[in-house]
Amino acid sequence: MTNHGPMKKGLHTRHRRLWGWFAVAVAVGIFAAACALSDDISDNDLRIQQLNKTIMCPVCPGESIDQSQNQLSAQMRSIVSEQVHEGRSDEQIKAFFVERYTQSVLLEPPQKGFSLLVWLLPPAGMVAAIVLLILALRVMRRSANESPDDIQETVSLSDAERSRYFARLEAVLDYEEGDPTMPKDWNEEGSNPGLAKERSDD
Amino acid sequence: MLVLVAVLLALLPAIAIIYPFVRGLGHDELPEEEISSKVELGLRWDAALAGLKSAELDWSIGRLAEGDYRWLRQRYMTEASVVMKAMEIEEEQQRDLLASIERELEEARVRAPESEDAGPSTCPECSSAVQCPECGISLTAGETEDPDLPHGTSFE
Amino acid sequence: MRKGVILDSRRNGLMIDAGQIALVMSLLVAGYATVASLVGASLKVPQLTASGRFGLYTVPVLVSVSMIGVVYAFVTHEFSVRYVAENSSLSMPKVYTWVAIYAGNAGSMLYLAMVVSILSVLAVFHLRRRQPHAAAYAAGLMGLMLMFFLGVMVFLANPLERLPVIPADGQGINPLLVHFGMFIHPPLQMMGLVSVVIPFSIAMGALLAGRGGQDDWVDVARSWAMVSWLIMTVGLLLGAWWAYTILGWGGYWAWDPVENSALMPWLAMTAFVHSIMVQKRRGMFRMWNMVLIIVAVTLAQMGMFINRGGPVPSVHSFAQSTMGWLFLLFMAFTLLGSATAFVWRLDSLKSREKLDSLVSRESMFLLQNVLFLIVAFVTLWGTVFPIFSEAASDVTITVGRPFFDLVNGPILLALVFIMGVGPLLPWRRASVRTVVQALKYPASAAIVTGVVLVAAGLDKPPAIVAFATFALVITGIIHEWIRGTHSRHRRGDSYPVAFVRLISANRPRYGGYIVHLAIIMLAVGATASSFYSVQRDLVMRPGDSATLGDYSFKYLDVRSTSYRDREESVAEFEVHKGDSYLGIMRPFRAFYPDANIAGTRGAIRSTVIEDFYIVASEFDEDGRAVFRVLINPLVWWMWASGPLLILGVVVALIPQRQPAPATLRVPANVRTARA
Repeated sequence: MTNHGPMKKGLHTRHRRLWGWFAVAVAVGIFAAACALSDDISDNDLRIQQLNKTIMCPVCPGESIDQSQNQLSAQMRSIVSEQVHEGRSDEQIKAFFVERYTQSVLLEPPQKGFSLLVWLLPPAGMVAAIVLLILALRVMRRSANESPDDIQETVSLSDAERSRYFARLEAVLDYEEGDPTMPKDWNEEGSNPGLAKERSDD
Repeated sequence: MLVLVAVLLALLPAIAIIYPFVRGLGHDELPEEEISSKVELGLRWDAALAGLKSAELDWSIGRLAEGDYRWLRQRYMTEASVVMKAMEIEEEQQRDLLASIERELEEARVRAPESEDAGPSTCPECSSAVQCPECGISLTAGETEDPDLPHGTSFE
Repeated sequence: MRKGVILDSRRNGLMIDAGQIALVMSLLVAGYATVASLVGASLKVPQLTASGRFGLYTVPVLVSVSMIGVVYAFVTHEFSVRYVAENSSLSMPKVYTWVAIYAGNAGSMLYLAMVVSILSVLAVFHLRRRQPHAAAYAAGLMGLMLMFFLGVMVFLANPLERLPVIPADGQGINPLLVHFGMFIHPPLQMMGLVSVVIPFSIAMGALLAGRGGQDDWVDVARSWAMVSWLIMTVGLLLGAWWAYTILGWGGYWAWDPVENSALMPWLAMTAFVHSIMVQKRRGMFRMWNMVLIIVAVTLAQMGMFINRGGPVPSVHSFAQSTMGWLFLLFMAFTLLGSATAFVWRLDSLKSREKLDSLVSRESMFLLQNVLFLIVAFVTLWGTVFPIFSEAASDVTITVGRPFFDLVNGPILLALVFIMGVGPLLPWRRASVRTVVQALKYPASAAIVTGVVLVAAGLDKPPAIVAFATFALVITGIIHEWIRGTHSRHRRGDSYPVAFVRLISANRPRYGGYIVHLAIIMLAVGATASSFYSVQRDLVMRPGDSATLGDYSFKYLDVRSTSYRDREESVAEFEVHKGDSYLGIMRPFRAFYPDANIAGTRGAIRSTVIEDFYIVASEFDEDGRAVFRVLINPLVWWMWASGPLLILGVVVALIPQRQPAPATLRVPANVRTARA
């Protein structure tokens, strides 16, 4: 693999790059087209849907009333709809349901009391983890397996040896896996002893 | 009928379990440490080559600055060279070891006819056959079962 | 053991009794295999380890005999077998037998035992060629896992247990299970969770053998980790797809506790398959990888626990039972044992090399790992928090979708960002110049994308940031592919050949790229449908028309059919988009009075751009019903990512050999003769 280095730029390449940007623009255009849908949903309806997604159906564990299809959910959805059209705020509507079904009817845990913990721990954990990560990386930079067995210490290369080995390496780097013309003193199985064939049973 | 089935079902694992004991398998099971340094070198070699190829690919795509490329290449090729040299040293050491074992055995054999104890001796005339000094039956030279020697070593 | 029942001599009971015997036998053999392998390995008695291993090889055969017995019992409607009576009926079509097998606890245990036994045999075979010492310990560990499943069956939940009185008909199968998706999703999901045991046993086996720092087992562990990851990913994707097409709320992921319990081990395994590459290349992260795989297997066992009747209520609660707590014990035992082994062999896990720079692929891998674990931790925290809250403050709260979306969303996006930037950095060290050079095109693409989307009128900044990030990742990958292909093309290959050779010469790397592309497809679909889907609930009678976006649809009619076990209603809609006629769509609803369960199937018209989705609720006598109509943009891309993902993993799994000088080959006559 004689390395030509990074490709030189030329007119040819510039044309190709324009095509590249064009492709990107088209792809992005598709995203935009898909997402920029005409919103003929009224604001009220949007609010209703959002609220429905945060209120849990009391008899179907874990499902929002938006998800669930049973009677009770349908009733609750119509209550939400009524109250939104009456002009009540999101908090008022949520409080209404909490009064009847306890706090657990809301899918989002409250941000006060003991439940504050559920919100605090993730960011705290994240900060702690990043700090630990940086410390760990620092430690990994300094330490190493400094044992005297390490061959980089015990095996020294003279300059002549180095060029000899480098030349040998260069000679084989161009060859790819499975190339039958690879020189004979290099083998195809690679260095994996596990692939050698002397394991006899099973 | 069910008893027959039960026996058959029990027989399969029973045979499988007893087989290694009966056939004396196991020389391959838990090989010793002599190979592990070769394994380690092989792994380091693979890693060095893989790293080298990675760097080459990144460079040809234009994703690597020249300084970084040179530095990486130097590191990987040095590592690969060191591994190659270490392998060659090991090979040499192994050959030397084998040769010195052979020499010792040779010496031991040459010394043996002078001992008082009964033991195999060579014919004084052709010095190629080994015979029992007591009854004169010739013993064939061939493979040894000495566990300290690599399998397959044979000598006259 | 109820010998009286087993020796019952009814003719058609022979297969079932044989199955029972095989089950007990497999437990005994697995027990022997475990003990023999572990004792033989530690005392260095090779015949013993060989014997244990051969015993392990026979376990799949024995378990299969049991499985055949169960299948036979189902197919012949043998209601004297309790499990068959509980999970099938005379009217159940034979093809549902497959689903019935894992519908209940005993059957799924048998399925899990079969999966583990087969995978164990293959993995031990594979590992032995590379690291026989580790293989002996690994075989013992896998035997231990098998003993759990087999033991639970023999003593607690026997799939072939007989009833004292034979019922005339069975209780039938849960109607929700009777769908094409259910033929694949649960077994695949279970297989995924249990398959984590394999890379764990390999790594732990190497650790116990004292060869944790030797790294020759790393390739084997990596391959099996990837296989396990693939199964889990496909299982999760299929689950989402099934939820989307069947459950009829227009969504595909609700952060339900059982979903979360399947997600967490997936997160840990994703981290592992990446960081294990660093161990392979640099001999680093040895301790970390060992911890990571222990975390993964613990989470997988926790997943099985939550799945089987854990403490948190969920829509998935098909098979509630107290058996779940056994899994918890099993998990605790595994964790304790692993931690002990880890501490004991800590010395063998020192790194071979040191980190060269904080800016390098290695540190990106570690950052990625940390973020994945944070997502797992947050998910776990949110899932179990209600229990704490109730214990600590007597207030029951729910931690649902809004919490997880809000907290995990940004972290997942950060992970996608790293997925783009990480591969751009070289190993060991990257100077500022390299970083700039590598990031040039991807970053520009991200900015351009952001600008274009804003100009196109999209609101919702989080979505725009997400799309820009996706553009960054895609550009990085495609850019490399183009330049790499071109560079080879200049050396003589035609473009297609150059491309194929490029992939083939760098399989782990390019297989990884293919997987990353699939993940981006998934992310694009998930982001677009999460932020930009448009929904409307409408009450309609036959003859009514309505519109949503560009679509106009007319409710024609509903047809109801009564079957023996259910009442089915199919509505017909005539659908137009703008001026063009799209066809008839048929949302469907079924009600099972015996089980008091309703099932729906949405009518979905899916294109590359968007899905148009109609779902029906209960119908009145005059055909009036509430219909939910949805436009979900770009959802198609989520499901299309599946096949691409599989392809990527397959490419990455094919071993890549490096040429080596002949001296590096292990000479055939250097053998150990010492026993």
